[in-house]
Amino acid sequence: MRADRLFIAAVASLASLAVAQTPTPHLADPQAISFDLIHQAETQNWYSLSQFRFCRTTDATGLEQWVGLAEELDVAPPASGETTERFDLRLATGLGLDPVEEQRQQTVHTHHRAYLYQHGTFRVQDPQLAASNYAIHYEGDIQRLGRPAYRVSIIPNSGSANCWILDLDVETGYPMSRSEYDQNSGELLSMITVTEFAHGAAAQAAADGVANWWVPTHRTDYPTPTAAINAAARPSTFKLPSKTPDGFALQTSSMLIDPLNGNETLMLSYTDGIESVLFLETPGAPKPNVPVYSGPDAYAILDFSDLTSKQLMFFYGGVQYLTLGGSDNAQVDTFTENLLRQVVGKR
Amino acid sequence: MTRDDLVSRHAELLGKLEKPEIPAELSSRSFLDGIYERAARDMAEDLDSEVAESLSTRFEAPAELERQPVDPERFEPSPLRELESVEAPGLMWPRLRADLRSWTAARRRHRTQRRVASSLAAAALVFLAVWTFDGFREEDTVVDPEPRISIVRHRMTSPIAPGFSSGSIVREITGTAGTFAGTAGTFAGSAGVLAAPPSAPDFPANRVGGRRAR
Repeated sequence: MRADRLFIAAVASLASLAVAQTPTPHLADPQAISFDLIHQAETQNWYSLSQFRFCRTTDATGLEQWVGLAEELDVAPPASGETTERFDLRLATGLGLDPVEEQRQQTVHTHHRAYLYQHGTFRVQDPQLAASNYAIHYEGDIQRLGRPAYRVSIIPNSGSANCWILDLDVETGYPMSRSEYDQNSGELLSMITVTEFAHGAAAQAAADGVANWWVPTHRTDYPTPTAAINAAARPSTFKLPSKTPDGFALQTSSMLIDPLNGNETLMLSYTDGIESVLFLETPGAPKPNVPVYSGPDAYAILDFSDLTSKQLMFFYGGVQYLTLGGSDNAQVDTFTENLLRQVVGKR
Repeated sequence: MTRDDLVSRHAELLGKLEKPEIPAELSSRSFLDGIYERAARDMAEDLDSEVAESLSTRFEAPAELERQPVDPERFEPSPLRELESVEAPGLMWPRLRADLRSWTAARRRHRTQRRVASSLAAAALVFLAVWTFDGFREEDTVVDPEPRISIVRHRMTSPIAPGFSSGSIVREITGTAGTFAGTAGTFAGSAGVLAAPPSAPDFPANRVGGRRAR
């Protein structure tokens, strides 16, 4: 009898221990997936992973190609006193490439790693705005790297942004795959897929020794745009946009300093929750050497668009104004044209 | 004796008198003209030389005045009608014409003054109407203080800011690295051009009408 009791107690203890060690899934109910849960999953945990990044591009001759690269990523929760997570994004190494070429690739990748991480793929920038501008649809259960995942689609409410399919790890909520689709044709435009995945303590142990957390260089963030230009050497040379892109909210206000010529650039970042519109204003920038039509009441906007991004720029009064956003984002056009009218003082 | 009786008595006495003989020269036309000429000469001596000259100038009567039909019935009966018609002397025409001119000028002046007064009154009314009409007040008027501009798009074939396009960044990294067989896991190098598009789920066409992967 006593032996039986001891056996039952032992089984109960093991069972309770097993229950205690089973992690609570971050995404318990697929119907309750929210942008806030995805945002928490990406920013409040340790991750150490490898991933492929694919982009569909066109060159200057119109030739369409898929290009890709292999990356390693470490993510850590925000440091004490900070509000954003830490990250270290690197191009994969040791793959047998010519050392000189590999060094060149590493240098270019390191220079752009912040943009690639922060704006190069799907990312919840503001959960509340995302919830008002996009809808999440549960598409089914799948497996990613042998782990259960939920497939969801992200559809913009306004039709002015691209659509996404995410494979969310059930346990952590981390997006194991992010695929971007053209909102009109449904064609695949870009994709990031995780090939190796570690999280929690294991990722922390891996990252603690090697991670080179990104810190902004030549860039200072300010609480408001006015505070940013007041910190500039010549604040009067800057003009703040009078309007915000519809559906977007101001996210960050920064001042960049070019280490080569000392030029200051005001950078404002707007977001609709997921997509970003970046505005850069650089007094003293060299005038673009392109033949553009001009007249007494005609002004030129340089326009570059590829499959995933749009860049609009105009030059007036010795100041360069540059707006960047998604390829299908009509707000980039409206914002830039409004700004041009504001700057020249005409309608 | 009443006044009437006295008049009748005088008429009776006068009727009994012998009718005096009228000098023949008085009935001649030249005698009467001589009187008129002497009167005109006396008056000319009292007037300025200019006026006198104009008065002495003979004017022909306007033809329209002579041709105007005269209706005798429109005139009041007068004892003068019984008199023999005597042609008005030529010297009267300058005065008539001067009177006509002054009368016409006066009438013209009067008409001009009335026209000016009417115009001023109309302008005042228009100004008052414009001033009091709300539709023309500044706060209600759509004013375009800034001239319109035209914006010309200049298409670029290469990125303006390559560092802000993930596609351009990846292309720059891949460079001439050759084929990247990332999905198969047998790539030479960490980046490159894919031989085939990556394997990805089709976009769920049931979510939005017409959005189907090709």
